[in-house]
Amino acid sequence: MSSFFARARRKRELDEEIRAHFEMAVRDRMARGESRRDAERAARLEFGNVDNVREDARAAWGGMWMDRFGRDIRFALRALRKRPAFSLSTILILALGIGATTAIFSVVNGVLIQPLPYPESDRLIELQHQNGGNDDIAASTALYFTYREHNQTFDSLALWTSGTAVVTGAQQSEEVQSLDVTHEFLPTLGVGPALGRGFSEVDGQPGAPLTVVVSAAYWERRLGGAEDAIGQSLVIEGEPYTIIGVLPASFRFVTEQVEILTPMQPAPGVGGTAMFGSFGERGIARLKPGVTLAEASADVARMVPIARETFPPFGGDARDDLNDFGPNLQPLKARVVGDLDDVLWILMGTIGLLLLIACANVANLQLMRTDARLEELSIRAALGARFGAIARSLLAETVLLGVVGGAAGLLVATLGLPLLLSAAGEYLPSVLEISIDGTVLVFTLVVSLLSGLVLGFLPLMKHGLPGLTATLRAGGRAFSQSRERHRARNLLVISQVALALVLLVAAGLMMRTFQSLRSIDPGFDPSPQVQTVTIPTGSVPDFARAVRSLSDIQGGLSQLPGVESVGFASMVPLGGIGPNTGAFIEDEPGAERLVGNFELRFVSPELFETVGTPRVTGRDVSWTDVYDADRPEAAMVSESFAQRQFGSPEAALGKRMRRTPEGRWIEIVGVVGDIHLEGVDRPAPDTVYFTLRNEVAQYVSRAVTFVVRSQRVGTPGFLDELQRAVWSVDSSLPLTGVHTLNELYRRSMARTSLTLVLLAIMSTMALGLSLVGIYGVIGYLLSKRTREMGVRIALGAHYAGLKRLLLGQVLAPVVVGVLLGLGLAAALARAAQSLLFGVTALDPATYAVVAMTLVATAAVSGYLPARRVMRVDPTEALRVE
Amino acid sequence: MNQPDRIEVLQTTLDLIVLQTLRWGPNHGYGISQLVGVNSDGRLHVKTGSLYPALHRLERKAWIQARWTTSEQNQRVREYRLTAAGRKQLAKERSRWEQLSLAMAQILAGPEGGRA
Repeated sequence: MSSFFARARRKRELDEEIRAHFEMAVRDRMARGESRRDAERAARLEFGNVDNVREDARAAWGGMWMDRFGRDIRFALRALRKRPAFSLSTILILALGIGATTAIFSVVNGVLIQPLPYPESDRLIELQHQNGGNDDIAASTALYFTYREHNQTFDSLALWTSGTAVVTGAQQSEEVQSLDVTHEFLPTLGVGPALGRGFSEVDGQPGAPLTVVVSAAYWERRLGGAEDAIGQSLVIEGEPYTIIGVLPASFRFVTEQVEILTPMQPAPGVGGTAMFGSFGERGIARLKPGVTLAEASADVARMVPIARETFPPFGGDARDDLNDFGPNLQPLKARVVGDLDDVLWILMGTIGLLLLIACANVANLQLMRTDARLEELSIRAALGARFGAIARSLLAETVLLGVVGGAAGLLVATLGLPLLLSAAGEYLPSVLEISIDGTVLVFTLVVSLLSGLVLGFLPLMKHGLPGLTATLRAGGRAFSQSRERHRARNLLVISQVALALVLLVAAGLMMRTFQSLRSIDPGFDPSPQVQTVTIPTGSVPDFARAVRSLSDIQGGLSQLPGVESVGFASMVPLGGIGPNTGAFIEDEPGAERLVGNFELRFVSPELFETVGTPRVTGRDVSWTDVYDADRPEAAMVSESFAQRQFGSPEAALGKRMRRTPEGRWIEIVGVVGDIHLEGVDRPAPDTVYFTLRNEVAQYVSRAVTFVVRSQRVGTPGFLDELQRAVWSVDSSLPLTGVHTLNELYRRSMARTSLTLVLLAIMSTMALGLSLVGIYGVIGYLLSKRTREMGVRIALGAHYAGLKRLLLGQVLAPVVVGVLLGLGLAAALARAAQSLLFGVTALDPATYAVVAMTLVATAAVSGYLPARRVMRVDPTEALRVE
Repeated sequence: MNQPDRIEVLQTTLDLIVLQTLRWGPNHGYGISQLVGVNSDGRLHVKTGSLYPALHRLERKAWIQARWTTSEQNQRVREYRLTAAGRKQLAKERSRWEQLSLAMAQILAGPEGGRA
């Protein structure tokens, strides 16, 4: 840019230099006795063409293209200003297309392209495993010790688990999000503390003094951001921890919100607590430079048998169910992105289609525009303008349009992105930072320039120089339109129709998906009348006492006015992923078998009644089952579990199971309906429900979620009453996770509804744009044929016949476009299969409805201009031109 | 404009002429064109159309340097002066020119040329 200004200054100086020369020459001549007029004339003659001198001198500076470029832009600006309607509509269409593309791309950029804020993050992987059909098995301390000692492909590896912890102290007790990690965790990610130190190997030794690293936000909020916070003590879950460091403010870990990091202290090696066969921790690793995922997988596959031989089996000898156990390593990025990448790439693809439609529309305007200017261009060609010069000036116009459209599009994107993000709010991981950054700006610029160039080349390819000179000869008065010109327009109509059809089919399939999700029985009552509140009980040191408190709270809550029923569980439906485990089942006395891969939840009496899950057979668990040590422990199972394991719900009643070979027997007392625990679009898993009497409950979760059914949910004061009822039992218990079952239900469908909303918006835009395009093209074609129609009518053609002729010509490209679009949609829809539910990618009904809609609307938008032409008076028509 | 007794200067020799002219001291475009006329007894004529492009070309090659100054007649003019690089270039061009003219003279004076 500075060279641009320098250039302008030099131009002024050159002018002054030439003027000085001229004046000196005149003065010399006048000194020799010539009159002023003669002197000036002679000096001018001697000087020659000033413009040429100027040009040549400038040429000596180099960089002539800058001048030419400036001239082309000025010329283009003038040309565009002269036709404001054309320019504005073009810019508007481009702004919408480019704006939508930019907004979606900034999401794609934030989520898919730069999701991990760590150095060399592509070397980070998640240590995930698979066994049989289950490909989402985490890691464990046994695997950690084995990999740490024997691996050849990792720079480092670490374990982590996430959870909540209650921090007590001088201030009110508070539940915080915590990560329990091995000491290599931060170095593996490549993150150092902003203040103090990270964990050392000593911090990770069993029995070592407890230490904690806090997040920058927690440090600011609770510790006043003071440097001397390092070394102070925090009471977490009743134990004193020494604060040793503060994380940088930018720290994020995949989708977890982190407030404190505590060190995991696994007892090392054989003889510790590590066993092969339980997988409670998640693992991450940093690959050595240059190591591929496949090489790391091979390395892990080699080490799994070592772990199997080194560590005692979890749950006794009978672990044949882990025979297929092996690696299923994933890039860590996949954990953030999850199933988002399908949605986003598909949205990106559809938005690309929308941009194409917008460009086709503008190209169409551009073609008409060029037709109207053919005479001007031909004259310029005849006067000796080179083809290159004409092409350059046309391209300058369209590129200018593209850039202005892009700038307007950026505005559209800036305004639209917050809307998009709030619509997607429940679905996008909130830890990601999505904004219009440098990458997005470059993307927008490239898209704008490309659309500008494409738009400019279209008329050029159609006409070329020979075309221009031919037109000049015909005087722009060709009697009827030539075949080639028809072909270009028809092609535009065909491609618009085809692309719009693809988008409409996508939206249609999403709508069907949404319908089938809605029609699925989730296994509970997704009612706004059911309130959920999560209560962490970690601050109650004694588990038995915590259970007492919980049952007291349940009693207290059910006394509240307007409350119909109250229950609680370790995790409510759609409330998150719980433990997946196995147990020994007794078919008949003496005959036990190990059954794996079912969901385990802990429930209170009345839970199923409250969430609205029907009891298929048997009875509900009761508080007597929990407290009466003389009675056998009771459990309930899901219908599908009973079906699979015992053949029928009735057969399950009275059967017994236990967690370990020598464990206590637990009797199945009831069977309840299947619940889609992990999402409506996921199958309802086989599930076993224990009571809080089972000792495992305290290790699985110290936070339980209460569900309260009442007509008063959502009314002011109701939550306060709940809170007071809880505090009247134990005032140290915080309330978190306040939702209704309905919210959880809607959130589980957020992906589908988000995709549906976006696709609906885009396909409506696409349909609108293509209808406008079709209307425009056909209207223009017909108006050019007004004379021909006049002649036909004058020669006695029948109106009905003419109407058929015109409509046929209108509909032919539409039908071709629909057929092409159907093929294209069928090919592309397969890619979107993973987003669909309860509908196939080739759903005939959707395709038929969309195709018919498109043909019908296209026929109408073509018929309107056709009718106008038919009404024309033949004598008028012949006089028009 | 092309009087018969004036010789049009070839583009290639123009550089040499301009550099040589500036050896007498800094000068502006008009002054240079006048000096060339005077120094060649009016035989050589530099077209302004070639002079200014040549000046800007030489400036770009850093053989001459320009600055704005005021002439004796109180006219703001752009004055050019030789740079050290220009001086070196001048020496090189001169020796090439001398060799060329020597060669030309030989050719023209030779048996063939004698007839002219």
